[in-house]
Amino acid sequence: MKTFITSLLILIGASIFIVSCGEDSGSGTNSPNSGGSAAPAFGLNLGIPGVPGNAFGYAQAGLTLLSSFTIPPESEDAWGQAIAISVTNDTPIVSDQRLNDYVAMVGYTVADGTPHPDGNYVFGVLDTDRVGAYSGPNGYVMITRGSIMHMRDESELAGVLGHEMAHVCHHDGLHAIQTAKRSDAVAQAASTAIGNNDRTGAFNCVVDLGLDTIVKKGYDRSQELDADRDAVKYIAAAGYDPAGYERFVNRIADEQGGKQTDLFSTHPGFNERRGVVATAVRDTGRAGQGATMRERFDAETASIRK
Amino acid sequence: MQGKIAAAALIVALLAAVVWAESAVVQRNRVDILKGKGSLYLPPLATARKGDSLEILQRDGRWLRVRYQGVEGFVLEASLNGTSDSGTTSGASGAGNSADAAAAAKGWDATVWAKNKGDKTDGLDAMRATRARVAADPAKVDKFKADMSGSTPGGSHP
Repeated sequence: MKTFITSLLILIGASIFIVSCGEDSGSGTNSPNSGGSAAPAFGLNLGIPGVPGNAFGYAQAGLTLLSSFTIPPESEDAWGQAIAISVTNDTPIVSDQRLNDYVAMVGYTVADGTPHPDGNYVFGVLDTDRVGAYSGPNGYVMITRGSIMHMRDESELAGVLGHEMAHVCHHDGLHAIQTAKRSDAVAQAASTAIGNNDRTGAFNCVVDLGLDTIVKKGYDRSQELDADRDAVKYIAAAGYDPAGYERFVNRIADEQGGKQTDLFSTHPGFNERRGVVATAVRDTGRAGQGATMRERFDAETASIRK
Repeated sequence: MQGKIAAAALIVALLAAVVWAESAVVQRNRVDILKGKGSLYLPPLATARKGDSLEILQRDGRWLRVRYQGVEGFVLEASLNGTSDSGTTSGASGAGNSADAAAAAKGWDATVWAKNKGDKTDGLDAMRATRARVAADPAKVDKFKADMSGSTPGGSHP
């Protein structure tokens, strides 16, 4: 009898252990697609229909997985941080606090005109003459010193920041990563990491995909044009002259003579872009209205105009 | 008699209006209660979860001043009802916040990623420091925005 009770207790204990392990492996996942199958191992929403919830299944389905998972908000921020870290390791943030503060305040003013004025935004000025701007998922916005040097007033700066903030509001960073074309090597590495329950390894692979897309290849045509349209809306709603963004786009296009800059290297053609921005400005009914803040812009950016 | 009943009903209705406080139930998974109106005021004072009730104290454009578990702050009205998918989260508000911790717990840790690559986090730190500096002087930010309304509109410089 004693042995029976002992065995029973052991069995109950083992059952509890198994159940708790199962729950643990599934913690953090809220996949709508997991369908009650064994939970994926990463706390990511990796479940997809028809794919077994185990390491072997994931390893086999690496390519499909990478194009299927959704990302919880807290990891979107980690991606954004990784993009910011990577970009600023390549090109540092200027040490001029006044310039950084000014750009941030313009950014927070533009934020009031976005659908998400309560969103997370951080800004930085990259110390390079190149003309360019970047945004990472969850609000990490960077603009180059060279871009600002090509501007004439604050409404133009607001427009470029607004363009990047539109990418943030649209979650374009995530979409770009999820739809990125990836090499077999990257897919294999990601699959192996997932299969080995290597969360950090999987994160590395996914961030590398994001960097490749966001920083090197850029967003796709429709994402860029949508960001242009919404940039115009945002800055108009925030009180700026929406035509400021149009002036900047046209100036860069004219200066480059059709040659692409970093800012526009992966963007739609200039003519198409000019047309979209011009239409968006006209649609606001506020072209030439709103603030340009030219004097303030001149004063706050004087350090890079010497 | 009918007049007395009507008067009593009116009094009851008026009293109800006085003591009734407007409230809203959070429909999204989380809503941050901010110190001020805007993302500059992250990190949040508190975070309400789906199903929690907020007492609405005042409406101010797109914003609501609310009370939640004794904490008074601001929320974007659209963020309550789920019609507005937040473009961002409060994750970057600084090291050590709950979103950072949750992400790290799941293996999504940009700092570890950077360390493995040999990258520095100086740039990210500088961006966060900028935000903290700007947020430290809300009056300056308010003036920055207010100055726009008195400025010369439009421009046509080349």
